[in-house]
Amino acid sequence: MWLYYGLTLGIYGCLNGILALGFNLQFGQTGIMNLAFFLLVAVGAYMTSIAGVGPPPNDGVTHYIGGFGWAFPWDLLFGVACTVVFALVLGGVALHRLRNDYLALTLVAIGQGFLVLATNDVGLFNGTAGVNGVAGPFPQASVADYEWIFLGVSFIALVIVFLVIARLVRSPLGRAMKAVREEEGAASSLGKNPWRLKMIAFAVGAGAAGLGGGLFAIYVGGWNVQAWQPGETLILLAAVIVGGRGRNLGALVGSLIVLEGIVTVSNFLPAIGSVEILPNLQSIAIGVLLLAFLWWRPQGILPEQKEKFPPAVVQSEARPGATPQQSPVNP
Amino acid sequence: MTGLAVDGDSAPTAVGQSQATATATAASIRLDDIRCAYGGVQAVNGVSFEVPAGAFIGLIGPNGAGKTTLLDCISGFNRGYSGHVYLGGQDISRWAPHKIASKSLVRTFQTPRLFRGMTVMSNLMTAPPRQIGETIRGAIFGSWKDEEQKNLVHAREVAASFSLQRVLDNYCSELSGGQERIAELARTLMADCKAILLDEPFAGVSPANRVRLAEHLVRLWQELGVTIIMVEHRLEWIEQLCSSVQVMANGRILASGTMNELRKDRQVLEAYLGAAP
Repeated sequence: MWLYYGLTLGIYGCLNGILALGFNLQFGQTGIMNLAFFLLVAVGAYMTSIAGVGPPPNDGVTHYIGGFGWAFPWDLLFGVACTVVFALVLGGVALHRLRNDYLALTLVAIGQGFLVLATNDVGLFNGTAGVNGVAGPFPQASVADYEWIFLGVSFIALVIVFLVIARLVRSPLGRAMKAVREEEGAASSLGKNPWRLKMIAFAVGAGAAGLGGGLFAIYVGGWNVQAWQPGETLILLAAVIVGGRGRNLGALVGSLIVLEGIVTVSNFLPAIGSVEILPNLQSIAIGVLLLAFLWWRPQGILPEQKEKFPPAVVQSEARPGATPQQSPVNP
Repeated sequence: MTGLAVDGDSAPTAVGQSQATATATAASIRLDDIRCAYGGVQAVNGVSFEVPAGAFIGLIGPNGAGKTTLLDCISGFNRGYSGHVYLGGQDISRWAPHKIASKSLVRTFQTPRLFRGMTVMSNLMTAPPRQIGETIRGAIFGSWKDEEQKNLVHAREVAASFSLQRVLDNYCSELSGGQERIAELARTLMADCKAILLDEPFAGVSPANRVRLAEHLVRLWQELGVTIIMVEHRLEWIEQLCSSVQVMANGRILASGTMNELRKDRQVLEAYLGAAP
C-alpha cells in the first residue's frame, strides 16, 4: 500500500514539476502573468483524451468530439501539438497589444469563458462528466507494473522538459526573454521584438502545459471540468514564488513543497470531520506560505542566479589580428 | 578626441565641434512635418528638419516644448503622429520600436531604462542585434557559443572603455545614477548603431561623471561616426558637443544654428534663454 502511495506521489511530483517548469518559463523568465495556464493544461488533457478514447458510445448521454482511439504516445503528442497551436492563437491575440496587468485579467476571463463553455456545451467534452477511458502505455500491464511504467514515463518527460527549457533559458534567447521581463521598452529599443519573445515563451510553456495535462489525463484515465478550476493556476503561481521565480530548480522545489507537499499529500490524508475542512486547510496553508515568502523572502528558496560568463581570454588569442593599441570602441 | 577640460559643474573650456567624418555606416535622419497631439495639446506641431549622416546636433527648448515627444516619434515609441520620418532615405514612419532599432537607430531614455534585475554584463550582452541564439532553433540546436564569445570580447572592450569593469558583475539596480547613464550608453554602443537619440544624457549625473560621459559621447561620434540627436537642458554641454542646434518651443522649431548664433536670436532669448536685455 505504501509503495502504491509512493509511486502515485512520484508520478504527481513529476507531472507537477512539468507544469511548474512551463509556468516558470512564462511567468518567471519572461514576465507573462498567464492566469489562464490551467486552460492550456486542460486543452492538452482534453485533446489527449479525445484522441486516446474510441468513438462515443451510442447511449444518448455520452457526447464528445473526436474519439480517434489512438494509442500512446500518439494521443499525447496530438494533445501537446493542439495545445501549442491553441497557445499560438491565444497568444497571437492576447499578447499583441495588452500590457501585463490587462493581459492577466484578459487571460483570467478567457480561461473562465472556456471553463463555462466546456461545462455547458455537453457536445464538446461531455460536460461535467468529462471524457473517460483513456488507455495508457502498456495497457496489459498489471496495476503495480503500470505504476512503475508511468513513473518512468513521467520522469523521462520531466527530464526532457527540464533540459529543453534549461537550454532555452541559458541561451541568448533566454537572456532576451529576461530583458523583456525587466524592461520591455528598453528591449524593443535594442531591436528585440517583445511580442515574438513572449510568443516563444508562451508556446514552449504551453507545450509543457499540454504535456503535463495530457499525462495527467492518461494517468487518471480522463479529464473533466472539476480538474481545472481557476484556483489551480494560483496554486502554481504560489509554487513558483515559493521556490524561486526565474529559476528552473526553484520552480521544481516550489512544486514539491506547494503542489506535492500541501495539495497532493493532503489529498491522501483521512478526512478530518467534515469533507470541506481539508481543502479549506489546504488553501489557508498555501495562502499563509505565499504571504510569508512575499514578506520575508520574495526571491524564493532558490533565487534567480546571475548569468555566468566565461573568464576573459587574452585579446590577441580571442581575436586574431587585434592589437593592444586598437581602439576599444571601434573594433 | 577633443580637448575637453571641464571642472565639476562649470562650463567646458575647450570646444570640440569639428564635424566627425561620417563613415559609411552613419545614417541621415529626416523629419517631414511631424505633428502629434495628446488630447487637446499639440505636443509637436509641424516639425521638419534634416540631420546629415554623421552629424551631432542638439535639440533644446523649455520644458513641455515637445522634445521627448519628438524623440518618441522618431524611435517608434509614439506612433500616433502624422508626417514622415526617414532614416538613411528609408521611410520608417510609424514603425514599431524594435523594427526601427533593427535598422540601427537606437535611443537612450530620460530616465535610464536598464534591465535592473540583470547584471551590467548581461545588459551589454543583450544588445547585439540578430544573435544566432535568439531563435528557438538557434538556442536549442545552434552553435551560438562562438558568436557569444565574440560578443563577450566586444562587451569587455566596451566596458573597459567606459570604466565599467568593476561593476560588470553587479546588478544594474545596484548602480548609481551616473553609472546607470554610462551603462545605458555602453549598452547602446553594443547595439551596432548608425544613429543614436540621446534624451537628457547628463541629467542626474555627478559633475565628474558628466565629463566622462561627454568624453564617451565625443569618442562615440568621432570614432564610429554615428549620427546623434541629443536633447539636453545643460546648454554648456550642447555648446561643447553639438555642431548645430535646433530650438523647440510649443511643439515647433523656433530656430536653428550654432549656440553663438542662437544667443543673438531674439525669439530664442525670449522663449528659452530668458528675456532679451
